[in-house]
Amino acid sequence: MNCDSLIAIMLGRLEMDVDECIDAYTELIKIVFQEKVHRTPLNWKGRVQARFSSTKLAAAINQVITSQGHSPIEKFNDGGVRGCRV
Amino acid sequence: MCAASKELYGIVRLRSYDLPQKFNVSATIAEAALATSAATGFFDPVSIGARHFEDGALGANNPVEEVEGEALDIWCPATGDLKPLVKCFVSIGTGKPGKRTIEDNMLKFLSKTLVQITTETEETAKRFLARWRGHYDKNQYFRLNVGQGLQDVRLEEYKEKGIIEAATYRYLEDQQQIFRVRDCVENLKMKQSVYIKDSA
Repeated sequence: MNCDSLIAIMLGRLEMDVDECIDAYTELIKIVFQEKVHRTPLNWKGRVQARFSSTKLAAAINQVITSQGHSPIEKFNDGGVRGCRV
Repeated sequence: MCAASKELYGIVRLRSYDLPQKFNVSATIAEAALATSAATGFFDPVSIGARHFEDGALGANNPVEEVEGEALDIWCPATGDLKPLVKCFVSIGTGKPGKRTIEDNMLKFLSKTLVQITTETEETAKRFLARWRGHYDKNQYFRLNVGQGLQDVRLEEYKEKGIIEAATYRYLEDQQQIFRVRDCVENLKMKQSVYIKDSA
């Protein structure tokens, strides 16, 4: 129940170093988790619903990607060879 | 990287690299990030092409066995004999979950499932260690997981970075961990090449 794969993307795909990752991740969760969308994980029908804003998450992710000189629509697998596979 | 597939009710691996003989979901960096985040259950489901990714509550909360399976697919797809090829395996946990985390995150009738999930990460680690005991014995398998101090830190509590940092340093300053980390560093320092050639 955490967003550790975002850190994997930052390290492995965006090739950020550890300190950059900590800063970017701290900034990202601040934006995304500052306010709750729903108090409970279930709606009135008893269905699971999102508790935080996916729009904010998408914007925050895009911000990290572009800050590293990449484009959000770049393929996750762009055929490039990197030191790390994620 | 793992995401939870709605179509298959199971885990799908999203890759930033080619793996011959495996079907790869063609995602952008942003889509991959959203798909894997959807698995936490905190965000909306995500579509990539015709595929849907959503809350993976019963998925790989400790994905160590997924990593093992993926390494096997990369390095020894024909034989499946992975262990002799692995010099160092490092698994990093995200802290042992406490009671409060569970109670706050879900309504009571769901908490039973959540308890199972949170125990599952430790059970997976235990099972993995049992199978990889030879590597553990030769200082080739390391599991680092902050045991104490993170029980009350929740994902959304971004203000608790200080607590996370303090608990992590305390964990790393423990004599047991000092020696483990030293052995891990010694092992990793002997690494000779960055890439292992695919033996497919």
